Amino acid sequence: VILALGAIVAVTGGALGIGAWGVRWARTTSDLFVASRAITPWWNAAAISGEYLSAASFLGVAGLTMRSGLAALWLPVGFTAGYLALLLFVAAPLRRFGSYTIPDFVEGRLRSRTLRRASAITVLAIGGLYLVPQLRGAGLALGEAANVPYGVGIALAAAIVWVSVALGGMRAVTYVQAFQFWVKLVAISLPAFLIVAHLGGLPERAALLGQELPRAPEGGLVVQLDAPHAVTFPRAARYEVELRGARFVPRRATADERVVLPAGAVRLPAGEVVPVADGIRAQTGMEWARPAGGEGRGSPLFIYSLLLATFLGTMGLPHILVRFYTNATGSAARHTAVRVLGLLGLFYLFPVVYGLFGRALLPELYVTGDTDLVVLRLPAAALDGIVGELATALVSAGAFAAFVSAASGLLVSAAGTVAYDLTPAPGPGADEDRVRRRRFRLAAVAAIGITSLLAVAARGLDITILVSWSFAVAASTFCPLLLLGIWWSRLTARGALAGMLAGGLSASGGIVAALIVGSAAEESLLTQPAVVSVPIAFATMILVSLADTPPPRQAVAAAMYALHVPEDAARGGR
Amino acid sequence: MSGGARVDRRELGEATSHGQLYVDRLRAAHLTLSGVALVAFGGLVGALPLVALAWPSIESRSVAGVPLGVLLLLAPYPVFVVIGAVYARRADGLDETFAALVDEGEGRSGPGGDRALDDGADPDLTDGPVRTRPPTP
Repeated sequence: VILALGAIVAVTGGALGIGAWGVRWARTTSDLFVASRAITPWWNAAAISGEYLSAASFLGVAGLTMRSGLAALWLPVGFTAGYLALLLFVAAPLRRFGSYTIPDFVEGRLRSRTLRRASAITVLAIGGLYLVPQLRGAGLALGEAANVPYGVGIALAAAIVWVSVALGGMRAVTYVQAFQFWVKLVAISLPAFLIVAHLGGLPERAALLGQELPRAPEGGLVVQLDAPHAVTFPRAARYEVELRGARFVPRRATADERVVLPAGAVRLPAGEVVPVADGIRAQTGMEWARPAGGEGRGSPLFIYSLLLATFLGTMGLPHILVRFYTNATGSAARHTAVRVLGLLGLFYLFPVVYGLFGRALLPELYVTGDTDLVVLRLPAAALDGIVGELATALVSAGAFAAFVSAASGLLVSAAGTVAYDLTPAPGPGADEDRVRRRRFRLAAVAAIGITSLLAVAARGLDITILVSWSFAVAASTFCPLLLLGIWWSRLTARGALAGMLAGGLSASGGIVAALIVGSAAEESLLTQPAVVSVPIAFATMILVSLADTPPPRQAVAAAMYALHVPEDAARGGR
Repeated sequence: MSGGARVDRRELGEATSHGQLYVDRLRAAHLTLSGVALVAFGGLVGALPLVALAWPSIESRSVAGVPLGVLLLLAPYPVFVVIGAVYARRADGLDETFAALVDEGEGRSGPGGDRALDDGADPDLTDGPVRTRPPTP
């Protein structure tokens, strides 16, 4: 516990230290948003990856793999593929255009204040949806490391993020985010190597891939429950529950029986099939190891919808595009994106290790439903003594770094949007810079406060459902806006607005419906609506634009020039 | 090289029909290149879920102790890097070809008034006051 906490403090302190050191170079308001532009593609790529690898990647991917099987691994494939879309269609033109927030781009390209405001509100919605699961991840990580209640962990995490953002330098300095990337990569890979080496490959292969359902290990399984908890027994089983006075009472469950277990300890004898919490399907090793097929997450339509949302949604995440602006040229922006593809691919080799071993070694997480904890718990379960403790400290620090870097990036984007896009310019005589800065800090407090409350409420939600939501909304609003805005001269402001509305509403509608239906819809297409909402958004945007009066030729030509002509040609000579 | 095949840099910025033609052609070339890369991505990675679906008993096979499903789902990452790297090289090539077509014109200054150009690629610019937002009208 001490080690884990120490590692978290060290990593956070290190990041803040680099940030404070960097602040000396980043004094003006502008640098609060964008760092210098003389940073090499490698630094930039590490920074982008650092900011992108959030709690959803660090904890969520492994947790989801353990929970629903290998089909969950399409998620990181999509997370990475998003950078390919960004590389192919957006990175270089947007860098050349000189915009690095979507509201900026919209106003520069389509000359509409209304659309700028609409985009700003969408930025807040996407940022908020993405921020809540980050805070939830931080609450979990702190809860595991410091043994504090979930709500307290979230409050602590929120305070740390706010301080680092308000200090100003944190985000502006690319080096902080680059540092965070390497912390995360080491934190997930080193324990994974240790675990694989210690267990000598995959000795529990039979349990993983055979016909078996997860079973209680030798010596039985004891699960501590804080509150009464509903589970379903996939097979008939004997178990014991603790009553007052530490007396264990034997019970029996029939196959497929749903039982509410009382708070306290529950004991399962060795070899008994473990019950699963609501929202988890008990799967045999065969079902679990199938990358596609079957129901839920494995159904092909679900997979394609997920790939579409992540492929097209990444470009619409507010905290990502900004980073590309720190490239010197459009060409450098492209090379940065290629390096990001490599770095993310490297990182995503490792979460699967935790998912695989978690299924064999931590069956109690199926009982409690907290599969998101698998990365944090596995090192101690697989490794003995001091090595286990060190590895646990490392993953805790990595999870926290994942959370802090993503959350502070999102918070800067959200607060910046409020301070610059949604509030009127200060009156004459006022010091504009100071007014904006004060608004920025207030907006940051409000944003982190609201999302913290939502995160407390979202305790029982899977980290990934909210992340999927933000990707789906981004793919259905900003993706068509960017793609058509950059590549299609005929786009009009009215068409863009209509398309964003149609896409955003259809994407959100599906997910809201899924949340209302509850865990029954957890792996249905409702939670992954992109396959429907993205075509709706594109079609609306194109049709309404065509019906509208064409935009002025001169203005469009100037915008296309700014977007597409390489710097060499524009400046003349090199 | 004849002058007729080239375009004056000033014409580009002033959106004369001649200059605009060149910008349109550049944009079309880039879009084609991106489209080809997208098709390559779609063919290699987009087909994977179907491969996984059609492959009988994939869940019970393993290579050197690693389940085949895991290998299948890790395979896309190197493919991304290869597609990305090839694309970036080709795209740079298109840009260079275009830059070579542009005449120097008389003056050294680019077509003024455009934000993207003023703001642009000065390798010496380290951390001076970078303009953040475009001037709001």
